[in-house]
Amino acid sequence: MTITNFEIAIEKVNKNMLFQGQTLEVLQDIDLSIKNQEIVSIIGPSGCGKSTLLNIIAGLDNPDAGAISFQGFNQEERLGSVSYMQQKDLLFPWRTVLENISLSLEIKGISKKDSVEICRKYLSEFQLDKFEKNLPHTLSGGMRQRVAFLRTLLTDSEILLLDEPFGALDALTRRNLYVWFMKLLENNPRTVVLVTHDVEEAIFLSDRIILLSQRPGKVQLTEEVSFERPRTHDIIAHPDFVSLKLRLLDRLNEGGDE
Amino acid sequence: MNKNKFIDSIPSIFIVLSVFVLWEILVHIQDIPTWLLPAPSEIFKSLYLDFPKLFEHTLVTLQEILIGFLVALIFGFLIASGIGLSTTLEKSLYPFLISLQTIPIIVIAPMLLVWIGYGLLPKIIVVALISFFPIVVNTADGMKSLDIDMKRLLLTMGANNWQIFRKIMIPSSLPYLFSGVRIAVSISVIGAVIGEWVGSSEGLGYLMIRSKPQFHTELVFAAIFILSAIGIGLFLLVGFLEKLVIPWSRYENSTE
Ligand SMILES: Nc1ncnc2c1ncn2[C@@H]1O[C@H](COP(=O)(O)OP(=O)(O)OP(=O)(O)O)[C@@H](O)[C@H]1O
Ligand SMILES: [Mg+2]
Repeated sequence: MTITNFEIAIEKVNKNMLFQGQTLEVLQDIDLSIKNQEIVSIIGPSGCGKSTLLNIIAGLDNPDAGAISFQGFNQEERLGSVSYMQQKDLLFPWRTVLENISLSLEIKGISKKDSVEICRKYLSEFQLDKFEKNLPHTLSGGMRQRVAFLRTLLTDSEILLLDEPFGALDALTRRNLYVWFMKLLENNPRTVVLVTHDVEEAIFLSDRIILLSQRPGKVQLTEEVSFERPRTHDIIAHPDFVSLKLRLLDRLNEGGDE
Repeated sequence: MNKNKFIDSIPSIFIVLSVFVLWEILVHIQDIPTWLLPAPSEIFKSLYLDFPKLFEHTLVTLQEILIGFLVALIFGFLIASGIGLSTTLEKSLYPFLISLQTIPIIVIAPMLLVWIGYGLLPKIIVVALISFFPIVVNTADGMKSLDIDMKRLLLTMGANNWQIFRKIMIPSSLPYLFSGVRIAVSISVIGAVIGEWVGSSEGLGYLMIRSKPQFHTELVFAAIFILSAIGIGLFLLVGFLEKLVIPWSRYENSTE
């Protein structure tokens, strides 16, 4: 198989970071190929380099060794070609909810007025319509995260990188968002790399799960998730779901004990 | 809300009133002549009786303050933007700005008179020079203080430098700009008076200079009274505008 079938190909990526005069090996020999429209989750212990990996894919950082290619083309300059939701929500305090969401459209050169118009129709789906004129400091943590999520979705790139996008949400909101998000991807497929701490979330949403080891992060385990789409919540009780979940949790704990 | 504000300002009103009362009593007990130190009642009388004259001169001074301040604001913002956008500009402009600040305005003002002559312009320049520094330094600090992660967010969206400047640098600099402006408006009043002292035929500074040798000390104090009122008024106006323009700024740090 040629590499061109892959939307994202990460080859032998190494990343060191300088921290207080010491060189930390953060990522080691990461080899990862992600197919077009595939949804891949990355899980692993805190500090193992998940965010660093997303930063590298997004182009905010460059690997010390190895290469990143999109659709078979080596991609030195990746900024602007992926939608990236970082771990911090990074809402602009001087912009209203609506203006925050429309940020990427403005960057693309659409006028502020038009971008706001385009974004307005998504607000009700996120129960944010009553808050469109609010400034971020008046929002709860969960609301801020939904605003950041929506802002990322509206950054309309083929590749979507999500760093713990649902971490601040309550269980119910989170479940509704899973379903909403999967429906959205069904109608408008994109390639997704999702970092999460929640094993159930990873299984529920993704086609494949990558487990990274403790720092230096290496690919420790890859699991395919074969549940049919569209998925419903009952799969949580499915024996395959449960056994996969236990297997992943086991390996996660092993990594944590070292 | 309004009631609270009123209650908050009771202490300062009380202090001002007691100073006036003590002053009045002192002048009467010691029998101090008006040309030496006028009692507050004399000052208020002068404010009332000389109102037309005072008003005319106030308009002149106010005009100098406002125009000079606006010039400082525009140039201050432009230069601060240059400093924010380019490290080269920052390095080359800062020494110049600081030396500009260390030249005593008292020395510059008479020179301006020699170079430009009488009229409005030299006063505007003095006001602008004196209020320029706090504006430019604060605003430049604000431009430099931008949240690096916000910048990285815009970079992932494919933003160019100009967009980063407009969408992050300018808004982040506004709270800093306002604290610079707050300092600038108060000292711009001083600038106008200095500008008038070295040579003019109108304005409150001129009125003071002229009234003193004529022993119209109450008029001098009336002018001082108006000047402080202008200072306080501008200061309050800036505070009001700040709340209006950047309502988010007081919460910025609590939203991390
Ligand atoms: N700016 C930085 N400078 C130096 N070291 C850093 C920096 N940011 C992160 N690190 C280090 O790099 C390692 C990987 O960080 P990263 O944020 O990628 O971890 P993570 O897997 O996303 O963790 P978490 O699950 O807690 O978000 C960490 O051990 C951290 O100590
Ligand atoms: Mg992280």
